[in-house]
Amino acid sequence: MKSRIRRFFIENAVVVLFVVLIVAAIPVSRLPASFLLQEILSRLGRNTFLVVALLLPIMAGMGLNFGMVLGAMAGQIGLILVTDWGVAGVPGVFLAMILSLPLSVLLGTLCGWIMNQAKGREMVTGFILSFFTNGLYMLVALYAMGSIIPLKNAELLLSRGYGLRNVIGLDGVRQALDNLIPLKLAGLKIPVFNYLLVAAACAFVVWFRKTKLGHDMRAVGQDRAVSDSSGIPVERTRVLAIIISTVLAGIGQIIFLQNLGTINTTSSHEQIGMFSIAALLIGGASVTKASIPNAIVGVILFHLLFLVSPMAGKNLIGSGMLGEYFRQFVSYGVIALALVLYEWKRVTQEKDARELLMGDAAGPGSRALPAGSAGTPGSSGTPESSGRTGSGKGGAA
Amino acid sequence: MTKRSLIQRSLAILALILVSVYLYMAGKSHTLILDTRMATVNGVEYKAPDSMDVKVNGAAPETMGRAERIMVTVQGARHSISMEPLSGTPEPVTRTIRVPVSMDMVIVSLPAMLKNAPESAWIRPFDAEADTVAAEVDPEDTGEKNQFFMSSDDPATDSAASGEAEKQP
Repeated sequence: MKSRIRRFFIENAVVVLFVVLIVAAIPVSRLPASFLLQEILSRLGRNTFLVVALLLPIMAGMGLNFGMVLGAMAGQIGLILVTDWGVAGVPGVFLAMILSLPLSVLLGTLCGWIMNQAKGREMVTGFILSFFTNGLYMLVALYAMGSIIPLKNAELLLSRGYGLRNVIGLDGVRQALDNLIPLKLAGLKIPVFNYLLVAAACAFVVWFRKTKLGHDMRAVGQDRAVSDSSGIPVERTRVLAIIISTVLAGIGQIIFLQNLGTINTTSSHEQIGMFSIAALLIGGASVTKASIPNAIVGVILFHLLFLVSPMAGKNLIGSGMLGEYFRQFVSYGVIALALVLYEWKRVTQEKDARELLMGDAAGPGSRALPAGSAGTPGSSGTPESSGRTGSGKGGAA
Repeated sequence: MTKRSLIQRSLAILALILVSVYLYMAGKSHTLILDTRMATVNGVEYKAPDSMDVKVNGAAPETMGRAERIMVTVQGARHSISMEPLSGTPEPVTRTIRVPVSMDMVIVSLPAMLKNAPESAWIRPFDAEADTVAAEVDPEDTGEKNQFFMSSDDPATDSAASGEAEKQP
């Protein structure tokens, strides 16, 4: 019993920690329950698609896809084009999604190819690549738009005649998806169509895992060398995982921005990677294993903490700015904490496995290895582990 | 890549292009300037009734007098405009217009639509400069403006004149 409880806390350390934090912070924040509930309902519909986009690269053993920012940029460009053309409402949103597809595929191919040159370093490679692509994006947004890429809507451009404004209003598509199937329950507005899109993304992931390509990705995620020996095109499979993730991220960013109603040209895409990854990690995922429940639970917990922490910080410390810094500390700190806790969990599980093996070697009557325990000695590893190639466990539950 | 997969991918791309074209046409926003100024088509003058209720695509009706304009933002190419004169006995009339994708702002001549003028005269693209000149020489406008400054016992004339001052873009 004691070992079961211990194992539960080891497996779910991050989730337990954040539940405790939230339970402590909500009463301190003094925010009404109806407000929190409405915000969470809205944010679930707005953010979950982006988090689900992270699942496939984890399944393929490539860790957390910091390169999803590239997809977010593609989605933003789609929205800017439909705003310029004056295409409004739901047709505008879907047209933006279609327009973002070729750019997402191109950027995903680039990202996947570069990650293949840096096997074992996918996360940091994606992170740096997102900075590089951000520079290109800013070059296009601030100089090419309106000059090389003609835009006819002068409201989108700076007064000098070229370059996008810092904030672009999405008046035509604002809340187009949220209001498509309006539903109000007990005074709470529920964006039904957004939830349907999230359900479609989840159904796609579940279906995809059963396809040949999905099986190939899981095999590649578990062991690249064995997959290669089995005739699976490892590099092509990894690139496809990143392409699909980037395309889903582009669509997710469009869903996100149509809910907000504005694009911040310079920063809307920057933080989306961090926040989505933070949410997935808070939901109990790791760099080698993530599931749809992790995504949904993570969005709820992360955004609850996001909502209550500024007010809780302000009520505790007495300053609104310090509350905002507290929120930033929580947002970025959670990724570091989740990674550290993942490593601690891995070390603890390996130690438990070694003790059990030593117990087996000691003679009869000792306990067998529990099913699914991580790490037989010498074979476990994270996508970022140094000095190890071709080994690692991965899978999306 | 096999021939079959090439055909499948080509069909998928073609389908996406066709869907994109449909979405563009279905979602394109237009600004309709509903105009009750007198229209002259092939030498025939078409005047609006003193007041009428106008509905666009079944939305809430707007009451318009003579020589007035209101702006309505719509989506898509086809729109139905219902006109119900409030003076006299004419029956309500519903007409369907088709706005070209290339036009962002169009002027819709309600008298021409109401009085069965040729369809080509119902809508025209909005040109700010040409429209300002036309407003200055329009005899119907001149008449209304004179009445605005003259005392009048006719409340319809007064309300139409004040309506023009408020609603004209």
